[in-house]
Amino acid sequence: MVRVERFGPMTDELEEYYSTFDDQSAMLREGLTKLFDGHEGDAPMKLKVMQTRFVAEKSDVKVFRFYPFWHQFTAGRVRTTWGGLNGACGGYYMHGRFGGAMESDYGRQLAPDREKGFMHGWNNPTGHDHHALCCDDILALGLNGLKDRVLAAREGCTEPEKLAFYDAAAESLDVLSMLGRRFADEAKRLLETETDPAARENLARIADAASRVPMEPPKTFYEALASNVFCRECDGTLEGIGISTYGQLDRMLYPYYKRDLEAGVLTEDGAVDLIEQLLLYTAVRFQENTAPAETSTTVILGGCDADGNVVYNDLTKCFIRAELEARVANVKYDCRISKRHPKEYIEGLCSLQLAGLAMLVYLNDDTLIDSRVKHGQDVRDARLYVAGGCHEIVLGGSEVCTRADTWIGLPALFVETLRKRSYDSFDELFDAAIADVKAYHERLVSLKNAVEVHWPEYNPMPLYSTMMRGCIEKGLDVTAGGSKYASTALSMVAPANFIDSMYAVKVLCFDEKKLTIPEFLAILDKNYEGEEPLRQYILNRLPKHCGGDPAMDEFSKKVLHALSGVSGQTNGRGGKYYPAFYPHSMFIALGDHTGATPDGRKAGQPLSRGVSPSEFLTGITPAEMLRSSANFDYTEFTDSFALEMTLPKLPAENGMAILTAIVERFLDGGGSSLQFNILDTAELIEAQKNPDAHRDILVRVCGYSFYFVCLSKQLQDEVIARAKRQDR
Amino acid sequence: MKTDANVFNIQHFSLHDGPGVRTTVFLKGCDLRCAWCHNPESWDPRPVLRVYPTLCIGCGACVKVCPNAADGKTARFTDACTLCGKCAEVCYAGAVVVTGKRMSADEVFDEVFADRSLYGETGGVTFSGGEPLLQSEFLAEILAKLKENGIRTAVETAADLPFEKIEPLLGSLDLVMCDVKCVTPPLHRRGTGADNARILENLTKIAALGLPMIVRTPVIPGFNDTEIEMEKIGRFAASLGGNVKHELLPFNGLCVEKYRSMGRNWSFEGVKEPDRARLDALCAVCRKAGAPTVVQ
Repeated sequence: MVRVERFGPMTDELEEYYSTFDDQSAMLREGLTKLFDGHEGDAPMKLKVMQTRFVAEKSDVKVFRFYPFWHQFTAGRVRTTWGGLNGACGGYYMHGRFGGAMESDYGRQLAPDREKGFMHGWNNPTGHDHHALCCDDILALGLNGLKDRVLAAREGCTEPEKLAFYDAAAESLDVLSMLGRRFADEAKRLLETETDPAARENLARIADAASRVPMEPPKTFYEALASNVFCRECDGTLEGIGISTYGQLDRMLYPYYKRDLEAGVLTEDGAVDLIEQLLLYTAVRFQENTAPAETSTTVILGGCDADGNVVYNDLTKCFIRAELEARVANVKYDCRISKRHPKEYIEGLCSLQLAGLAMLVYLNDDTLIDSRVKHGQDVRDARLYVAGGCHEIVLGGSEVCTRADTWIGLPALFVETLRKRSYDSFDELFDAAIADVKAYHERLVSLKNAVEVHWPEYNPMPLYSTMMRGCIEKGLDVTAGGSKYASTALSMVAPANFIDSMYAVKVLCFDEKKLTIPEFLAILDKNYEGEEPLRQYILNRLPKHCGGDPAMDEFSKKVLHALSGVSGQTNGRGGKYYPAFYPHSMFIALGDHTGATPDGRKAGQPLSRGVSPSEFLTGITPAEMLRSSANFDYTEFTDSFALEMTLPKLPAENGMAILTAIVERFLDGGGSSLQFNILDTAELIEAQKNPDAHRDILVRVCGYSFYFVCLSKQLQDEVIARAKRQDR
Repeated sequence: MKTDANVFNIQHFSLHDGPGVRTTVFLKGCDLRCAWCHNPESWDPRPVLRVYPTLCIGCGACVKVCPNAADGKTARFTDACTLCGKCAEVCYAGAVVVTGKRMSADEVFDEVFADRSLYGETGGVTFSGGEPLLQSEFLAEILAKLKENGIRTAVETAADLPFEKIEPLLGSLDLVMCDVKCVTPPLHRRGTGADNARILENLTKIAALGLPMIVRTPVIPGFNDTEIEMEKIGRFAASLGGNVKHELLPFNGLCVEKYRSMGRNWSFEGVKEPDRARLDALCAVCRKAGAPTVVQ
């Protein structure tokens, strides 16, 4: 178990509670079934609020003796889940009433595509995860202020649907305030019998703060952080969705921190303690040392404010310090950097990597903000972007995230294009391949739109809507398009395999005429059996995507640019589909279902990640990757288009110079996002044999980090293969 | 630029050949024959043929193209082999390769210059070998051009050349890394086949010019891993003055594959790497003698 000595009592207490607690799902589900009895015809919005109230009233609330935040109410939410999908009784209504109809509709229609490697993902195509609240509004207004805003908008409104929405929103805020007060009461009750001085201090602090915030705007750093934590945890649980990010905490909380320090009510150490306790809670709750559970929990560091002022302050440093001591895989840090940030910030982040803490990703503000503005979003909103949970970008507090459900497998689609008909020239094939991706994108959009339209009935979210800009102004639920922005994306996976495959066909079938397309397809169907010389020729004699060859870089650039044009359709909430390439873990799942591809990849091998070169190539160093990847225009893509690389163990006295040089090169090249692992092959192989002695090796898998020993054998092998490629 | 060079590898993103991120250019040809050498492919200035059996896919293409094949086998590693390189040309799996090629100074410059934005505030280009200073005309030209373009430069050398060959290069170098394999003359002759008087003299001269130097001592079992020799090495390193670092590089046996790939035996095959305690003890001996020694 994760353990920092001075927080031992806290983590012991959390561990004891979460290893034995009753999530009360049976009681709550039974109660909700009775509650809804006879109400089948009622409006969805009304039923949702009934459910919210019932869950918030009937769940047990838990206040910990040594943990300073309060948000744990049973709510049917089991230990290693967050609010999303089946994670809590906040999702009872959608599943109870529709019995998973949406999942089955979408999933059934796409089952054959999944088998062929054309797509992968979750069966529920609505945004059930990776959301971000408008934390700025929560801090500025408190729940009471949010309710005032609802009531002010309701004034003079006569449209019945909007009135129903406003009423539901106001009542949901009342319920959340009621839930907050239950924690204050519980803390007071515990104080009556508590004798331990440290526990008494903690409980008194909670009893005091929970009686005021988040109902009122917070006054101190502690209250502000606690407000944010409470809203994220409780809102997600009650709405039945995943709210992933705590948002730009160093930006938002710095004024409170500064004020507290000046007033003498907080020290730097005190702030680090609170942050560390939050990190440790996440690590313990999700059992990150033993079970490979994704926590979907992120903090955004750095970046800028709405006016464009660079954010890097003493609180940013506190977050770095807290992680250096707590050494947890979660919370993940999504670190917004730019050419304008001081070197000290980059060095601070690199110090985490050098300490073996591969729990962060670098996001390039210079590119990502530009890309959003290019796609028509207001620069002041774009500057407040956050990473939803992994690689998806959403504008914090003004954009609903519906990007984490469906991924497109580009390589399998290309092989299908080859099968469809004959081509007289490579240009003809090129155009057909892009047109086929576009057609497939459109097919998914129409399938998604057909089910998404039911989202407001399926799971309306009036509470979340109060914490999302646009909804109250428009009188429209977030599921119905209320949020200021409602863009979305169908991420395309494995551009490297797609590009290298296209190039191999170009050379072998058109330029050198070594074989025909039907002959090539027959070889792919045999998984290159008996054709190893050809496969080796493809692997070792043809230039590769992101491999440092200038002519190939031009080819990659042309393909990527063409792929940026496959989206642009309108989604179920009036937003646009944007082009994106975030892979999540789908490079594995899609790889499993993708047969042999013309780039020399055999059936079942993992696909490539982000903009990086293919997984199975050797001899491409970070120097080539950085050089090649700097040639592409990442502002064409709205979400994080990650360059992922693996580094060998670095010489101690040289490590910082090496890492900062890489990060600066990435910024100079106008990249989108960057993440890397520092891996030692021998150590990983040893860890596979003897996991208990190597529990601390942290690996960035893709948009998330795990302890190596907790990964599946398949993923462990994949990580070892990555490490081996860097050995020389 | 007018010159060219025998190059056997350009290693991008090199992390162990000087400070920061570096691009290391390995030049082919060396006059020493250190028995423990890690780069046997660097000795001969001409290209060499190498074979990696584990990469072989058994396609037989090399036998078909070999002009001197006999009994269903290629002529490689036999007297009949003319080093024509045809087998490597058709070996797509990379199991047969020709190591070494002629490159012009412009070609080398372009390749290393492409990495410039990765060099940051400390990195740069390192010329290694072989003995890079044997190709001193090429070095003089390319080092000057790198300097002109603001790229930091370094060499890794054994310094067994007349000082007149070394001196003209020093003005274009930011760092000199050179070996002190041992101090005792007969020992040096036994291990490397060459005298060391000129080497030690050269190091003293370079150090006297105040150029940053890293003196490196490979710790070779059965050769210099005695306290009596390390004490001498430490004293010599200390005599070079304040701008000189001293590093002990532990022997390792990983390059046995390279010898095998060239169809050669290696006298150090199976020799164990010195353990950490022994390295620390030898390091302490050097430090006691006044050198700023660290173990790499």
